[in-house]
Amino acid sequence: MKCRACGFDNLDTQARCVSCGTFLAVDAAEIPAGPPRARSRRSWRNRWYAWRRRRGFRWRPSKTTSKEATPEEPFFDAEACKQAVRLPLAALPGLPQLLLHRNIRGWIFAGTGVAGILWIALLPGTRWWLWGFAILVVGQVNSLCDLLPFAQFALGKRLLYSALLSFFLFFSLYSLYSFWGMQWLDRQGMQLPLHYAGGVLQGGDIVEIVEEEEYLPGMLVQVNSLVFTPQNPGANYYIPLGTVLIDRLLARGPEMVHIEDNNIFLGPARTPPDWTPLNPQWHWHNQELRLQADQYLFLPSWFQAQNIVMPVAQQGNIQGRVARIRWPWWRRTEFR
Amino acid sequence: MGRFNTLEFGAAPEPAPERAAPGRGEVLKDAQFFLDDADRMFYRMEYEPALKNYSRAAGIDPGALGAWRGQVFSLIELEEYQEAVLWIGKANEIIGEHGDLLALRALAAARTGDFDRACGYSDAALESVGTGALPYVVRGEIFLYGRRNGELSFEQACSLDGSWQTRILIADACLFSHKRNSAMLALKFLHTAWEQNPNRPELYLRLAQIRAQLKDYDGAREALEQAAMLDRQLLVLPKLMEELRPRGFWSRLLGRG
Repeated sequence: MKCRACGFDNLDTQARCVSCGTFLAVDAAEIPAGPPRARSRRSWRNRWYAWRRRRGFRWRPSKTTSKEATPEEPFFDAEACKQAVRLPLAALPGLPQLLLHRNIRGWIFAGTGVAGILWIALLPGTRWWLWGFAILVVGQVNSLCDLLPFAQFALGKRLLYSALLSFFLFFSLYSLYSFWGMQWLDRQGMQLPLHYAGGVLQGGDIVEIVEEEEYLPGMLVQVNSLVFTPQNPGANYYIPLGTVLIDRLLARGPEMVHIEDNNIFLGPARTPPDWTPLNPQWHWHNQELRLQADQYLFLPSWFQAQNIVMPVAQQGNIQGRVARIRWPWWRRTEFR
Repeated sequence: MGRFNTLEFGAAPEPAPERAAPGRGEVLKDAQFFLDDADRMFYRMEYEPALKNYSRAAGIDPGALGAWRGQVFSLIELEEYQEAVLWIGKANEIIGEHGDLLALRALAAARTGDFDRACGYSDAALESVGTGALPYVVRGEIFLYGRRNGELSFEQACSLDGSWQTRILIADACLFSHKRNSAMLALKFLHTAWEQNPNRPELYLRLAQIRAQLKDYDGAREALEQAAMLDRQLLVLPKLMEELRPRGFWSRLLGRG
């Protein structure tokens, strides 16, 4: 191959001219005059790159070099022991990160945890209340997973472990609440009834229960587990543990009750009553029954939803009447 | 005369094309001339003219690794990362794979936040034979993004090539990463270069940047004035002075801006 600069005849295997050192492999026409240039300043893209650089990454030795490069770590690694001490601190989300001066993520986890606690504290009477546990768990799980040596796992495994940990923590917290929290509410004379959308009570309002000598139709009452139907007196319906049935007493025996097209008629004159069950969406099939002297017609929304046979409560099954809504504070109401 | 000119099994060799010989006292503007000029401009942070001169050098001698490396590095410093990656591909076509080009590919990936790719290219660059200090400088910068100690990599780079150019590259890497204590790290590596070459205006430019990053704006202005005293021809000086001009409300109100 001849050099285009000095004309020296080189061997074909030569990359450079032996005589003058000019590069031989490429024709001059193939060499572009200069590199391509950006058309604009690309400020938004460079800002995105800058954000990614600030975020950085967690170092993982590559698979090809890690075996040679990293020495075998001792079993009782000082850093691992420190992490084991830090793990219990993750019960307070964000605390271990703040102690390790990982301030941004620490405040994010702590903020999420505080938001969850505030949510649980402020919205227990609403249907969104249970989400507070989820928010609290997100902060805690992230705080915990940040301490665990998850960097060595692939993204899928990390997500799987985080999800398992989240479920575990969520149900642990909720069980703790169900056991201790409900007991505490009971000691305070309060109850958290079933979640449903009602005009008077809304999902999960915390209400105060007061025992009375006599219960009248129209009262909001709490009925304990024994609920039966006169058509099928042997059948007792299973009510799950912790379920609190609160609804309105619609009628008291001895009385004849007809239900037609979702209207409740009392007595032989078929006078419609002034009150209806709490759930405005209630639906019942047409039927009639005669209430005994110590029986009350009681249509809790939970039963309506399941469309089972008409439940009837006896005097002894009534726990008490709802005196007032205690929480949330903006829905505080007195019932007489 | 070529080695095979006297062999008799081929046609007679053609005469070499005439090249215009430089006159007496005239500088021979070959690839090395443009390369040296481009290097000088590159370390003075004049990346646009450096890029032009690197391109000229690569046009004259396509096999000059320094020219291709300089072009790519200038593109990266101008934050044109996609163009830099394209140009690395072109360089690979012409001069083949080289550790420095792999290191620059790692640098482009790291500066775009693609750290997985950056680590892979950096590993490949360190494993390739015959590389200089550049792969270690790039590794150190990647370590800084990974919140690891990049100092060891920078020291390895200095042990391979302890020149002031390498130390300026290290300072640039630290300054660009904007990580915690990276300005102090840059100052540490620049200090040795400054002791050995006290009259280099390039070092004062970096010193000004470091002081500006440490919020010592008066010290930064002083360093820029020092650089201007050493070389009045620095093109980047007005831009840096403009960046250091106080822009706050009170500064403007009191006329200090």
